[in-house]
Amino acid sequence: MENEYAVLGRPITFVDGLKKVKGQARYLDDISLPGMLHARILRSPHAHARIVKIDTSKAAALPGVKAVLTGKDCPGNRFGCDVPDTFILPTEKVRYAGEEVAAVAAVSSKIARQALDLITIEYDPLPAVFEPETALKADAPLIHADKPGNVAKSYRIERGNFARELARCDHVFEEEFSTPRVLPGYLEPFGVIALWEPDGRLSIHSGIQAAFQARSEIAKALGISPSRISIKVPAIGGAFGGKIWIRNFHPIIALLAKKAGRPVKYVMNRQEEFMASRPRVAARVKVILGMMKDGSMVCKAMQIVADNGAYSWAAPKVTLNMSMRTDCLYRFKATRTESCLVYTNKTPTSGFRGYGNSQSHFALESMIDICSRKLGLDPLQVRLKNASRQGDTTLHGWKLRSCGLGECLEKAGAAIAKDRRPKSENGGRFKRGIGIACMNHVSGNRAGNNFDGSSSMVRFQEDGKLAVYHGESDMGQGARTIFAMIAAETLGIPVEDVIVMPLDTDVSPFCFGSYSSRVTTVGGKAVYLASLKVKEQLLDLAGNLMDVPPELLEIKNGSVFIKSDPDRKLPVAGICQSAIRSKATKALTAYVAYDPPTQGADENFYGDYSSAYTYAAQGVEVEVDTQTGQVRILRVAAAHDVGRAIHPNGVRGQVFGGIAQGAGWALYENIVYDNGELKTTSLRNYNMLTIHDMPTVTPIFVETHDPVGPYGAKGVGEPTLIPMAPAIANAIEDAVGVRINKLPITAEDVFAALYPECHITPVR
Amino acid sequence: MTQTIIKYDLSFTLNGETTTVEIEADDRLIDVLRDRLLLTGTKKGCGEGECGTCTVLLNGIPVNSCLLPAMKVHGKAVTTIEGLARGEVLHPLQESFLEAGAVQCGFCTPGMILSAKALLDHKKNPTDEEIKLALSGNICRCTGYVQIIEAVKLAAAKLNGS
Repeated sequence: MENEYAVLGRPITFVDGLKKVKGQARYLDDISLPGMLHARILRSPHAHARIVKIDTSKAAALPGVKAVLTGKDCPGNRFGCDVPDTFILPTEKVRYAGEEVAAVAAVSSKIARQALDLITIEYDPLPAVFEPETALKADAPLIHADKPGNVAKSYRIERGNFARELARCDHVFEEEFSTPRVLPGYLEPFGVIALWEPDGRLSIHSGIQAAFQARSEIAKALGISPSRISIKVPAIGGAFGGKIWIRNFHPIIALLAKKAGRPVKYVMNRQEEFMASRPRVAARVKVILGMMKDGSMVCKAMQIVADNGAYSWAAPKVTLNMSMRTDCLYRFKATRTESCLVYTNKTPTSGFRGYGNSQSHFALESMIDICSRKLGLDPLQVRLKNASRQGDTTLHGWKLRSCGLGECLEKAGAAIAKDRRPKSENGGRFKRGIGIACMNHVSGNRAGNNFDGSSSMVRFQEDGKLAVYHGESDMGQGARTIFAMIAAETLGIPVEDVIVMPLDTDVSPFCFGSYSSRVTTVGGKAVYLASLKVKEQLLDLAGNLMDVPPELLEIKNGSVFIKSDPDRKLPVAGICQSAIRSKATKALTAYVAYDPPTQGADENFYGDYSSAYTYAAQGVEVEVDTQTGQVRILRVAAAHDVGRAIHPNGVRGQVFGGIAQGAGWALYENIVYDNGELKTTSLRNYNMLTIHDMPTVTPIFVETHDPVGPYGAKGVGEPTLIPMAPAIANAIEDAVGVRINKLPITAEDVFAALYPECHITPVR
Repeated sequence: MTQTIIKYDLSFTLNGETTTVEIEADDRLIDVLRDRLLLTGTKKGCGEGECGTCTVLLNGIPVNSCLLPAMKVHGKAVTTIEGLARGEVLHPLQESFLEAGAVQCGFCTPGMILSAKALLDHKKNPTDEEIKLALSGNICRCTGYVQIIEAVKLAAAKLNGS
């Protein structure tokens, strides 16, 4: 099919790619300000301990040290997301090993590190609790005095009448699944530079995904007004959900900068990223599935126990997603979820690509294969039979304005079944199998009645170049390129004529942030609408200059022309010049605050809350070495309903990257604690997928042209990870007949399942 | 606590130019490049030789500059990402990374390009396996590596004039 668009769907180079290949992109640690100090943070060695005494006098006296900060220097404001239980620095007790206790700013990192060694802290260790199940016991030590039972948040959500539906099912199945803590694993360590300007305002440089959320959270922590703060976002070296929310270090460094009266930089080292970053919420998910013998899925219940860690960040929201989203994947008659998010004396957990939806998909999409096999049915056909379809209003009130789930399943299923390698090789040592899993996700997520939109300002400059201002971050996924393409397409100008301006909350329009796979759909829509408005202004002006009604005009290739007489045209640059440098004084500027036409969820979590819902199915072929239990992923067929692929090669990149992270989660990655002591403190013993492990991938685009998204586009960032783990587990069972219900699926797990007589206990 | 810090003169060829810089004995090459010579294209991802973002070429061989005592490069030739383009003219690998969409966040890109350069400097038409071996010390968390392999092949074709 011929591409009707001048820009969309074309091979456009990422707009910030050039400086990245030249080594000129400026990430946080590449920025130096005059007089800038370097900070290091002292972290608790104890998982749970009372702070008896802190003595910083020797550290403060070390030459080169300019400021030392402890809890008593900080305002006692609580901050955090749904459950604000976090302080800048603790004064009474520490709740996890790695928690910030004191900080030093000095003329060099080296001196700051030396100063940390000079701080003496007397602790009184308290009994600690590391697993949610033990933290829920009546005699468990209490982590927060005002949180009885160590429960951070619990949900009970029922639709339809679960008990009644269950009673009429031919078959009822029950299984339990578990998923580990894993790190977003962005390569650029997180950090901040803070500086108090002469007018008393606070400048924060930080590679954060949600700049305006950061501004309000830092304001809350410091007890100042948000507009006293400006967040400036440099190039971001990956984020994957791990850089959505601020960390304690943001207000800590702001206070150090205030105390020292100089700019202060702090960048986490890799060990700190392991100790004190925000891993994925680990969860145990019990699933009860009621089915008829023809494969109809009638009802589903889940019981979830999730690990919050010591403080609440996004984990309450992550647990909510975990509790709901898979209910809308199929046409269940009834669903019920009871979930409990539990405090433990470990690093706080938070969001990572998938934001809870990945955990429950591992459970449900494994479950469907388990149950289908027991009934002698083809899991793919069971999925197709029950799949949600376009036009459905789901149990939770989602309105499926576009839904390519069935097509994704058919295409991924066909692609992975084709060109299979032999099922057995080397005398049966290597066994191969295929598996499939599908998923649904969102493009935006309105909490309650809140804004779930995005704003953009689009402004022509006097030379005809277009400036696009936006508050959504580009962490590498290509947001800036998508914005430039949408503006260029809408205004009929070359993409090279669009400049996407740096993100600075002082200048950039108000946006909610780059998460929930919402940026192309919601952020892109704001650019589209603002571009339309500017187009109207430009055509009005051109109409005056050309003496024709503006409705007879169109823009193409940077020129305004008369539709019926294309040879009569004016260059956009000339029109801009006569508008801006003349008495015409036209602004050629539009600011659009866009909020998608969804109502949001009510207090019972019912309601249509996302601008668009996304669908995917991924088929996987694995090879299992039956002598070692080692699993190798050979091929992946990934079919994604992206609405419309605005930047096809960018979508490919999202697909490959999500598959790599999903495969890592399924097979390799795991944050390991031994009785509360963190064992994975380095990339040496935490295995991220390397180039050797990457399978062959066939991306398949299913374009359903969403009626709300810009040019029909929907999000794709998170969906690429979500189906991987269950598809791999399903393929392993197809290959060797063993079922592993926990992640990561290690070689030991597979070996132990293959040879139960060996009595091997895999390391958890 | 007073201590005398002894400084040493480090002389080496940096991106084709003779460079002398005053360093301390325990300085690592990465810090000398980034903090003293202000070449911030070399990235620090882990500081322990695991991620490959700090890769530079030492006499044409890729090394982790975060593990290398700076004095080890005395009298030798170091190439960083800043040494690849000739003014406005990109190295074919830089062009290919852009064209293939091998760059997302870009944090692994300088190290990835330099590891690939070391390969293409002695292998005109590397196989997929050879490319994977050459880049196996460089982690990329964004791209899943597929377009990186495509980019290296594209660059090989450009360098071979096809």
